[in-house]
Amino acid sequence: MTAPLGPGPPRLVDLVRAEVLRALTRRAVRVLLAIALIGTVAFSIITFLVADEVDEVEGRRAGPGIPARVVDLWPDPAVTEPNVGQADEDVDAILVPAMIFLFLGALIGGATVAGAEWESRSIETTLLREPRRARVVLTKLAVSGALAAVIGVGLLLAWSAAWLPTPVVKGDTAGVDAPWLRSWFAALVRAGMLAGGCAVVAGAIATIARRTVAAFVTVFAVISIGEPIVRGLRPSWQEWMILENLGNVMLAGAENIMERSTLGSFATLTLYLAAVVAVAVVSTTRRDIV
Amino acid sequence: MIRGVAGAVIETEGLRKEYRRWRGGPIVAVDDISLSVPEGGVFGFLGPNGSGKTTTIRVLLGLAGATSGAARLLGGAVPGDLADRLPRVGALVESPALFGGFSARRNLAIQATIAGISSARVDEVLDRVGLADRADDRVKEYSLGMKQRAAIAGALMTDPELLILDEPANGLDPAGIREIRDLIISLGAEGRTVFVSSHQLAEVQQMCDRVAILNRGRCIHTGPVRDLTANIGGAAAILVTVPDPAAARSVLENAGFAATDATTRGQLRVHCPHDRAADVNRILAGAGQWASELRPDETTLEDAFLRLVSEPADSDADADAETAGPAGVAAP
Repeated sequence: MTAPLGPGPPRLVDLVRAEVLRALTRRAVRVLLAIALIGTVAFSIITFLVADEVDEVEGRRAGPGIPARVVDLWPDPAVTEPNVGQADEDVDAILVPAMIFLFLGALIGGATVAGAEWESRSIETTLLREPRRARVVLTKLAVSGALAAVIGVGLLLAWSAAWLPTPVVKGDTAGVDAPWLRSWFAALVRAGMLAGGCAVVAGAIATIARRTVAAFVTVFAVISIGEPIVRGLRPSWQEWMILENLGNVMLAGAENIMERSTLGSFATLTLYLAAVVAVAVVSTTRRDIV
Repeated sequence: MIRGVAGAVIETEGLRKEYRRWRGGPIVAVDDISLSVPEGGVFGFLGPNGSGKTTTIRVLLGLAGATSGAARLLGGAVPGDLADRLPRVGALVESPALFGGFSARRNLAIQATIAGISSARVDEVLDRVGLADRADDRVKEYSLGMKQRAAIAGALMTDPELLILDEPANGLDPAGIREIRDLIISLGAEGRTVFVSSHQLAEVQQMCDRVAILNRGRCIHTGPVRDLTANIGGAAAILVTVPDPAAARSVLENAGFAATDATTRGQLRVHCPHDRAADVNRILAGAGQWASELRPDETTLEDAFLRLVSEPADSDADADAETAGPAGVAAP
């Protein structure tokens, strides 16, 4: 229950509620969610149609199409190989493409939630209610990050559920045990956190530049131009690259991307995120709102 | 730091705002403005384009930082005490800053949520500005006047003691302008202070008790509207409409009155106190010059404003006038 009229300074909880309301009612966010859900349904239908039935005698795929095993959703080698017994065969990772799309969606969502407020100047209206700019920026970024993380885990759960009919009807559930379930769920949580981080970074860049598109351009420039150049010129700096650390956290060291531990990569990414957020806060507090 | 004046809701002292440029010197948008707006009533904030009105308002509301000088809002320092003071202030700055993809109701609901007030208040303020019927349409589909109303509704959300409205009638049709004028007058009559910047001087004259006039970033006049029109207007005169102005002028001059041609064709301006209108009428009638109209030549706020902004206030203003940019802001 809220007071009829509030003469005091705005409360943080009210600011958070307002930002959640603002983010979830943005058309761009809803369109992204709709695309994700439509894509998930399409994935479910297509994989069901094209998946090969598992040859139960041989225990391996019967044709050239994708195999129909539950564990192919998230084939943590350490967990799945002993159960499935297919060390000679590449394991599929049906969750990984979904994670990559999730990160892209989080980038777009985070950038548009923050950037559109600057472009429409509605940030002024917010700051006329709550003039503590650092609080506004941090709340906005935290809310978009938290929403991206929660929505991300939800979408990956939906993606996992959409995969289930294929192995249940055409394949097998071998290897689905407590360790595998733990590994799968940990992957969902890590992906959710990374999606949250993507949304925060994109939102922070959009806040610094006060333009949505600046976030897309910056991320593209760093990932597609900056990092490949550095990777080529200074291979020893690879462990500081965003993509390598992102992959290391996403796959939890399963693919031997780098020597750095998953936790080390997570800390590196957190450091980058904190730096971008700090610049966004300082930029917003120091510059005029025009 | 300035010492608060009792009863003043807005105070500035030596307020200056410069905008730095990559090349050339800084642009001075506001130059040494000292202002005191008393509590209650409607205060007009006037000035030509680029005179620094909006910049002053932005500084007062914490959206821009002052280069030097000090400001107080409702007795609290700007920007230090704004978090405590802004909940008691409603503001509309420049054009309406609403998110176009949301409806007015959604925009206001978000504002209400931040302010921690009941969403029922959204319907009240939408109704007050006459936007209840279109409240669920997206703001991007609104006319400028409707956006303006929605923004004013947002300013009224917290039932503020002080309203700061920057060009509130911008984009409104004549009926809308009248509604907003009536709304502002009623808000002032309720005991609130309404600080309104406007170009529409006839409206300001009807709404405001006091005005401050800015030109080239400086405050060149502040005081009651009545004093402004009386002092700036010069000597009293009577406007007379007659069929033959040349003959009438001769008659009046022979009777000892000074008369000149007025701007309207067929009209004479007779320079004398207003209470001598009956004498003027009698003399003209005696000479067969029947006046079809005879009325006091009252100086409007527009006349006074134009006279003030067209003449430099002092030698510094002269210097500024010579270096002013195209938007009217002065470069040092």
